[in-house]
Amino acid sequence: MAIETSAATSSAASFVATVLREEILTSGLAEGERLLQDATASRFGVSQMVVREAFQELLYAGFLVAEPRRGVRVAQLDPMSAEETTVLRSLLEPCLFNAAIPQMTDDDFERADAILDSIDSGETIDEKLFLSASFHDLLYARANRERFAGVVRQLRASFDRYLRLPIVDEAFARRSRLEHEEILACCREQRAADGAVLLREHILSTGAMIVSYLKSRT
Amino acid sequence: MQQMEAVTADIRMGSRSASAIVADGIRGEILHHKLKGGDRLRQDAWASRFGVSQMVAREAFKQLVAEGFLRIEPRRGVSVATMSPEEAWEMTQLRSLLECQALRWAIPKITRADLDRAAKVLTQLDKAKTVDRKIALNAEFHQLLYLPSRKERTLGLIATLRVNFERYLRYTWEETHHFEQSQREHREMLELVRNSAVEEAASLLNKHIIATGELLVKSLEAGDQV
Repeated sequence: MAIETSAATSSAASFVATVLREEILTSGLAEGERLLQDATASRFGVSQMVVREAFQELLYAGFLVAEPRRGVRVAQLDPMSAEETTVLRSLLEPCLFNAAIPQMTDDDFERADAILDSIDSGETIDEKLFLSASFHDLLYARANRERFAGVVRQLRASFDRYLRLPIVDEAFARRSRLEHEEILACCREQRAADGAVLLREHILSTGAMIVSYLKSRT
Repeated sequence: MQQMEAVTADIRMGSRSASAIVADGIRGEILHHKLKGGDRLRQDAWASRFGVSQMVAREAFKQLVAEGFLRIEPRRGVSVATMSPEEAWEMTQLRSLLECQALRWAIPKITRADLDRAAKVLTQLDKAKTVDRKIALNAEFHQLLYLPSRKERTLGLIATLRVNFERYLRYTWEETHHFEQSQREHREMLELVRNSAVEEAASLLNKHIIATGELLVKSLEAGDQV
């Protein structure tokens, strides 16, 4: 009984978190906007405990920031934060990549190719970002490093907002595609070191572009 | 349903601190080996023990799962997490990457006051009598070196890893040779930081973290109860 209750609360909280996350990503909720626990609870018809759990999830993922005694606000997109996440990603993702390569199969390579093709024909930003994330997930899947993978997933999830900025445009998508293809080629040819270097550069250059854009807009 | 909402509302008022108290209690028992790896935990038992609702106990469990102390297994419920040698190695590498980066970011911003405080902590560490005190002072020393980085996310990840890992490292503090070596490395690190030797300091920190990690991996491989 207790387990059912907790599962119900958790899934209600996940639902609320998902909806709020979407709104933050699509700018339905503005940067800096305050979210009130009771108003949110009323809106979704759930208890405040469920809302608190949803807020915790989003705080942990970097979508919200807490202000002592004042509640939570939608986190600002800030260049320092983007830079920090980028550096951490550039340290961790190549490690996962190195660990995964020896275990990657032909099947993996084909699926990766298929994902890259779909990104091109993806119609919405959501689709493209999701597929891009799937490509990276595939690259790391065989690493068998659950802790690393967990931290990387968190970092990538929090970076999603930055990838929706206007600077991340068609030209970027084209460059990205080329970089992804080169990385995949390294995988096929078991050139782990080369692939890791390219991956690191891919992450750093994307980050640098976003950071410089954010610095210029303030 | 209304009754449950009322109860929930009552608990919510103090719920955050109540679940933190329960979590502290469970964490303490795990750290002191009163609960062992694999032991199952029942929500209702812990709720009655602390005189709280099951929802509060559940929140405490959730917190400890996030910290890696507890593990959820489908249909088996919650149990005390164990660590394999591979996982210990993985966490060591993760710690090293994150902490060395935090140090690199921090060094240009570290002040003389920070360094003096850190030196004082090392002196206290030399005199510390209990393992708990040594652990706390060691954490404080490292924190003093990383905090000036002002990189919230990185510091948060490091803190989570530390809390997660710490329980497995308790026994290394009882090992005299390792402790003396550790303190030598701490002092050397402090000097390198004082001289702004960023890469050397990061390299020594890496060596320091890996050394502790290796001790733990060997011990887990030997099947020691940690």
